[in-house]
Amino acid sequence: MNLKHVATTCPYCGAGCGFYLKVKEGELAGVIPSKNHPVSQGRLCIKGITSWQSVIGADRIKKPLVKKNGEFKETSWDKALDLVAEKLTAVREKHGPDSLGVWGSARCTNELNYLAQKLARAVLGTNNVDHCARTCHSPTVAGLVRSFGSGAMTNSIDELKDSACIFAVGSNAPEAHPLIGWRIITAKDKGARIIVCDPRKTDMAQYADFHIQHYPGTDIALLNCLMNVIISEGLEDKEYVRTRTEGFEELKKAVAKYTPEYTEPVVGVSSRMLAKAARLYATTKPASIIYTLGITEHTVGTENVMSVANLAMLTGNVGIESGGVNPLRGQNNVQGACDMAALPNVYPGYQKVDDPQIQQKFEKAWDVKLSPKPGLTLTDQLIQAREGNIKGLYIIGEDPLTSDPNITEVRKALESLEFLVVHEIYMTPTAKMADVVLPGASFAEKTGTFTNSERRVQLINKAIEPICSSRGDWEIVCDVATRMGYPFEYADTAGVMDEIASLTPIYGGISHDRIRKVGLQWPCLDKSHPGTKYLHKDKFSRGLGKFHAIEHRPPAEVPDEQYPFILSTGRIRFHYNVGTMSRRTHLLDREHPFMFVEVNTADGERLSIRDMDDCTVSTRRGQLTVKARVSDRVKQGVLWMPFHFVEAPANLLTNDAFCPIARTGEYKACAARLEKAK
Amino acid sequence: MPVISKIQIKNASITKTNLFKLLDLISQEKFLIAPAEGPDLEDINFLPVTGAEQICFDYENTLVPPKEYFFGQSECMFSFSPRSNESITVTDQSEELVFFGVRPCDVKAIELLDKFYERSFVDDYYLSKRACSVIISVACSQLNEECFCTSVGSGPVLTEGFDIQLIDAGNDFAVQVGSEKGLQLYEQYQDFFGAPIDVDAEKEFEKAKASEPGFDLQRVYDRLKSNKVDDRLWADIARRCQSCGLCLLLCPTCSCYTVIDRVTPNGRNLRMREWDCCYFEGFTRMAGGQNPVKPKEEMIKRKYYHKLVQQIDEFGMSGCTGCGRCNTVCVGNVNWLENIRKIEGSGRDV
Repeated sequence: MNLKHVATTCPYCGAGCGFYLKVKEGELAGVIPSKNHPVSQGRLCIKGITSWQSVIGADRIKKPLVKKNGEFKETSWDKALDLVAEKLTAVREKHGPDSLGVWGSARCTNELNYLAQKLARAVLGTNNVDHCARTCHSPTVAGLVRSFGSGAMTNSIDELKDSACIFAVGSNAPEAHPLIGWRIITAKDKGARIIVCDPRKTDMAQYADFHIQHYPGTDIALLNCLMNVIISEGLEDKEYVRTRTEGFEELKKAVAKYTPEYTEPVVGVSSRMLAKAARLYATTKPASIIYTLGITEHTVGTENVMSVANLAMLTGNVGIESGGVNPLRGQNNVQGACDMAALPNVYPGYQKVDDPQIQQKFEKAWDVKLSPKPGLTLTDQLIQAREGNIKGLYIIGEDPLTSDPNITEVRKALESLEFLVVHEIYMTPTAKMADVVLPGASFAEKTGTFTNSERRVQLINKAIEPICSSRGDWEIVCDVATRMGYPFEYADTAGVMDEIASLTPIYGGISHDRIRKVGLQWPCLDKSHPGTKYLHKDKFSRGLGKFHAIEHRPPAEVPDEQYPFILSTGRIRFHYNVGTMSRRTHLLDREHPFMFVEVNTADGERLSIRDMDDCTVSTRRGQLTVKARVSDRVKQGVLWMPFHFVEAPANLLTNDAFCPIARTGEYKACAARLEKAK
Repeated sequence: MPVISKIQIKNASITKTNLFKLLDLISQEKFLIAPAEGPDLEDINFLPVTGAEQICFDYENTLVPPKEYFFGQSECMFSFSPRSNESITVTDQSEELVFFGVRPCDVKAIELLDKFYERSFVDDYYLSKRACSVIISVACSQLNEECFCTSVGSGPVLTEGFDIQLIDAGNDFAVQVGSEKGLQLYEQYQDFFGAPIDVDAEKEFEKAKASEPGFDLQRVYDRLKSNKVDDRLWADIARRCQSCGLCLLLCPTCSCYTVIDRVTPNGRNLRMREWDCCYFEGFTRMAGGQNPVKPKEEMIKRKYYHKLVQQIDEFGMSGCTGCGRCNTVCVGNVNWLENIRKIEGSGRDV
């Protein structure tokens, strides 16, 4: 009997569960949960247990594809790679290095992301490198660096079960991060108090002692109000504020006007509940704040994050076990892709590209002259493509034509390119627009590392041979670099990780051999360092924690007579992002096969829209006709849609207004109209 | 042919040294499946072993039950060409497997699956694999945290229904041979075995029962059957359930599957059957979108009824064998044992 188990890490959310792939006669045959894994502890969600099915679809891209006269033709690796190298070189020579951009991927390994940014910086000569954290948690990195000095989950996932209070804002963990949801349910069972702030009655909200159902885009007003109550009732941790933070007086002044009475009409929540929730959070320690994209995906995303940090510091909840500020990362390796500097302004480990000393270090290591000029975010790469300044893009494992806001504009940007190359495992709307498509290898077909939301660097192991003619995607990047005259020579991905460790202080002690049994949490400074369970103990990364005085600003687009609803978007339990994998998984697609819009019962009655009626949702950017799900899950005046369905992409509707600091789009609030379909 | 032909129990013994040697020999002469450590994460699961040194002897139970070798998470029934009905190739199910280390609760569960799969529609895919397997089970000498086999009559020592059962007796194992298949294996390797030794299985059972926070199955059966359970219990479980399905997929007696056709990336057409379960809404949803077992409370109530009433009526044995896996895997902290005790407890504290 030819059967083996191969230990690996789940390819879906940022919780980073461990399991074994069951491999029978060389083919995937199932998933075996792991009791010993520190995150999953014998458990998995429905996406995890079915994850093996997501990568064996009949329509995997099998050979490199080159577009001729508008049609893809299969070709050999050599021809495809030669063409990629030739075209990238031509664009660089004609328009300069900064006319090119490389997109790493939060779905791919650390090793691949490291090589992708090295390709951009050392071979193409540009810092125009970014990845899809731009569409989710970039405000977290920007905001928490400003407040604390480093932008990651402060505590470990398993600490949540021992929190006395959990304050969840814009996070629906049981659906989006089920193994983190488990810790919250456990905390609740052990007597913890739960406060949930969300415009929807989410699965998370049903565990809440207080559910604050505020309007999308009013988080700063809400958080300022809670701090107003805490300060005016003297409930702040005075000793902590005095010894560990700065900027308190400015904060105090800024929140002074946000009394519960002032805030009530802004957020749509009773002043009594606001005051009660503030008291509960301030007096129940340790309190852990968790948040996700309900906070970040706004034009005020970075300021939202800093407001969350303000609240946690005010009550002395940062730098302690089971407390903290915990952004739950949405993708398997979005933390790692940030760590590896698939970002335009830093080298691996958040070392700034415009710091001459750092630049020198990397020039020496890579033996090449490097650009000191921070590059463009992917948001700005797309804008500059439309303006004619970005001419070539190399996109790895991402589908901006489904996942970015206002995809009509994204299409225009991709159409203006001279050359587009895409690595993918399945044909996506973005890949369809490429000049060259290179078949990628899925998580089951390669060895490398993912870094989960709690900064744990973990191995994935090759379980099956690359499907069809694909090779490990890290090898593809090496091949392109080598063909462009800069040989990338690594024996395997363990060798790539050794180079990462030598240049990235927070990964200094990481090697594949060391993390074989159980992953290590960065900072892990050297080979004997045990890793770091929670951050900012005794001292913040930046020294003192900094309070920021922040004013509420409404979303870029607010309801009016023509578009009277606020439209927000998000995830459901059974699907994942743009659905490339989950929609191809039989059990998941059977659980939820169609797109819908959530409508409040009162709005439904007023517009004569009943549950499961077809209705049309329109914004200034487009319209979709979908099924209505009428219930009290959303607040009156609010609509909510998932974004998993390529046949009805919610991002046709969303607003491409961006956070000025982090350049993340406002997916969570735009003005919309709802009508019964004709 | 029946999967298990019971015989009058034959007693013997084997020293631990000889057991090791025996398993080593079997692993070279046949396909041996035994508890073994997986790579990297080091979980113990039933895996093919090629030497006795790979076997883990000191283990509680595996998270995935051994049913996966007879009824797999995903298995190809046959491959076919869509254009010709003569090109169907049925997957070979005749590989002979010897199992070592299966726990009594899982032997009991396999007995129930045998009954299920030969009930009305005789399921060859399952039964042919069972027919060419022989199981050496090992009685438990202590109860794990989540176990409650004594309440459902499936352990810690079996009185019948096994091929070969080993009971720890210090330096030796007492050996009981209980089926034709077991006897064949025993006779083939007779030299490794010694004279019968005394173990008091009855006493072991009583000792285990005393240490277990168990329940009275008859009372649970009566209360479920007469619908005396407070609906708030089902509502609480429904609120906790996160629809992962693991409590059912990993249940050693759950037998539900779905059938799908899959085209592989290299173009083969396979008819697959894969684990499925009644906590998935799509499992009972009909064309047109109606679902007879909705809301979730109904699905949950149905599971308790099926395992603790219906299967007792139909097969004369509990549909729960007390392995406790469903408690271990739940992300909603639903505790099956606690809930059964609430059902038993006359509903006052429900």
